[in-house]
Amino acid sequence: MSQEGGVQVSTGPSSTGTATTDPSRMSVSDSLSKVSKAGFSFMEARQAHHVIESGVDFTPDDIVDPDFITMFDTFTHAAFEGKPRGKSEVALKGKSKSTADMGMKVFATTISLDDIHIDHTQNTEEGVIPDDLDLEIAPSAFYLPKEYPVMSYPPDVLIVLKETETQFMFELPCFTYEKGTAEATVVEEENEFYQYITVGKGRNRKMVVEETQTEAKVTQTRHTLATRPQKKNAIVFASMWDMHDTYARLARIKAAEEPDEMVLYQSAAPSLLRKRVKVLDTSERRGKTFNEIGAMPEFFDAALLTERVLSTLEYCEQQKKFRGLVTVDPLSLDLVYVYSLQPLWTLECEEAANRPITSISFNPKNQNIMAVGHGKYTYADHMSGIVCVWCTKNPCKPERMYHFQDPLTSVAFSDKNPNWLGCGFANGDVLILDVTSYTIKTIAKSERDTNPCFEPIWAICWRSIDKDNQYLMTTCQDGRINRFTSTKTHDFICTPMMRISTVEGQMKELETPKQCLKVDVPVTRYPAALCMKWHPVIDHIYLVGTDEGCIHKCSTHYLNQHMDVFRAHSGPVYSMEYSPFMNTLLVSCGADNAIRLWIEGMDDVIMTLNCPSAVFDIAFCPINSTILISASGNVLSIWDLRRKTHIPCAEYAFHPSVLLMYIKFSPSGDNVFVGDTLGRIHTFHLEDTPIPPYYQKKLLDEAVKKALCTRPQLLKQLDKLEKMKQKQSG
Amino acid sequence: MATEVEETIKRIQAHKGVMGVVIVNHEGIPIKSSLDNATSVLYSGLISQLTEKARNVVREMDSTNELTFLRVRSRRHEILIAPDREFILIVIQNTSD
Repeated sequence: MSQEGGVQVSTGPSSTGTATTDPSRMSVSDSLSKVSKAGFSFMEARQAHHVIESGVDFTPDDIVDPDFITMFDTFTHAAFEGKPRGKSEVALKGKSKSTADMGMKVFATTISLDDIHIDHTQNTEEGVIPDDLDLEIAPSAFYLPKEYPVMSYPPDVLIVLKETETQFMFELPCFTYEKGTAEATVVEEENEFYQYITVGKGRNRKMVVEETQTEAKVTQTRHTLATRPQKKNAIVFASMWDMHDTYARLARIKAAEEPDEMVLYQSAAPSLLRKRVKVLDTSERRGKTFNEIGAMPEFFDAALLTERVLSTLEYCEQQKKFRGLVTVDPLSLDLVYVYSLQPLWTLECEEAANRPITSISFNPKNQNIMAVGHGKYTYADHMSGIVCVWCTKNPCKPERMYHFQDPLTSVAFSDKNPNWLGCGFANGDVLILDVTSYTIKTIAKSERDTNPCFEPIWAICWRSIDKDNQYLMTTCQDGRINRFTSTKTHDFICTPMMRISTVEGQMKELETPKQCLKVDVPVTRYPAALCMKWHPVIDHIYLVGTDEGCIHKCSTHYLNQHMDVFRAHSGPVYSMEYSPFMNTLLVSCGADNAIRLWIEGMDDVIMTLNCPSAVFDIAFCPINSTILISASGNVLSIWDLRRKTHIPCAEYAFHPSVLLMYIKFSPSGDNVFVGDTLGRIHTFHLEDTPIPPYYQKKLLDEAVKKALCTRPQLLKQLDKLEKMKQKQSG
Repeated sequence: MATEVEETIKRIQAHKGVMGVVIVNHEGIPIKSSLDNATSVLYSGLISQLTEKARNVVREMDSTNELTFLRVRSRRHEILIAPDREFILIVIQNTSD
């Protein structure tokens, strides 16, 4: 034994280790398995050691309670123990400072209620150890010594219970009794008696008048303070028309009739009854929150109008020029005819940026509204189609935007129904859209079973048969010319009008370099019909320009073949226009960098205007008969036939990467709309152009004749034609 | 749809010269406004009354006609009013440049 700083380690008989256990338990444990015995022996050796420092035993406790192994076998529940004990036994027998055995031993206490006298003056909570050991759960094998704070538990507890007076806080006496019960019979008897003495025979009984003194009732006044209700003055105004509107609406609404059980309804079968105009009252939910109101289409309309007005502030000067409010003084002395184009604004939006414009159509009813179709320019492009509807009053944003899967190739507004827009797609579909709605609303769509086209629809135009009916004429890449009508059954039926076929052999007009045909059978039998124009005078005749450079004159009477054909260009014909001043003058432009003028009835070309690159579109000025504007490549050229035909009078060049696809004059003749391949529409104002002449036709005639002065045969032909016409009309 | 509406309002506000936008519902309560509350309430109350009168004027002249837009121009700014049965859209624009 070493003595180190007062620590003594004594090895003594391990009596304390297992001394707490009852001898009975000891005997039980002895009969345990070998393993536990081995543990026991191990623990025994360990128990032999003690650490005592300055007289206090500091022996560390066992980590595992030696009795833990045998716990379940030796554990007995208090309920199984028979004899009740008077007092609780708290037996803490030596061994270890720990009281782990507490969990092992259960103490049954039964206290008879008569003995209980709780003195409520004493605070019984002090000194109470909240004993919430759950006896079902095994005690933890690992523990720390429990140290109870020093406290005292009162040896005797006295409890006194008293009953207080009943205080009635609320009483609701019963006034009704269920019939049949004893109380009910009593009540009935009383009621009867009352009836008897007041109304019945009992009235005639001797009565004595007596005075009584009622108790003086003591009343008390009480003041309360209420918050002042908020009042506000509001002016309400109802005019005669508001009242009229209300009554009109009430007349329209039909209140739901409740079926009367008594009346036998004999009504005719619903099919025989005439349709009632009255509508059931679906309760008018008027939107109150911003989200509700914002979703209504009327809100979008209001926002649209506001935006139009707002944008006029921004484009104030330009709008003035556009509308013609700024006029040129024809009598001023410093007029110079330089044919300048003043840019006003550009219609572009980010959604349509970089999408080539394939077609533009102006609304016949309201020239300020135009529909723009965006598609693709090169064959290999993959683009989706957009239709934008712009208003010239609002150059900032399109008023309608419709997205489609396939690129658009042509759009056209209808004359009869100005809100119908016919669209042709690159996959052969034809659609009629209603532009009054903000979302895509199709009036009619072509079906695969009647419309065999799967190639781009290049030109689309409306034609009316009579007052009510109208149909769509479309030309397709595969040479078909189709006619679409909407039937009573709301089908959109396509009937073929004719098919353009390749023209072989020598043709009149142009002498183009012959294409070498290696094989006898040409590959394409049907050239694409790129543009179409109705004859201004004769109803049934229309012209079709193909991508082989020929212009076919066809008629709606002849469905199988064209009436006439002539070769106009050595490349595809992109556009044709009739002069607004001369019915017989046709101008065509094509990919061979040329613009050619033709007169009906004459075989040869009147005039050729050469451009720097392929000419995509041409337009006649509606107020000045000799002015033309052409779009070729990125150059806008203004031609004046009166002055010179070998070069344009003025040119306006765009950025080299831009290709101009579309040109149109506004009806006033002062403004030009130009569409390009970047999805933008530029608006220009023509300035410094000659004042429109009075004798327009005469001037144009003179210009044409001047161009023909080197070809006297043609002049003669022209004279003959004119004479014939005069004879016919005269 | 809701974002489209928000976009529309933002676009209107982004226009040149726009000082404020107020949307009033049929009860006369401003439901969306870019101005402070007091001003919005003032505008909504006064302009609702004016719109009623204006609508009456148009209707009295021709019973089949109806009011679509109203512009009140003053020296300092212009008030654009787009009325409807369910709401009133008010835009105040500064016109003096």
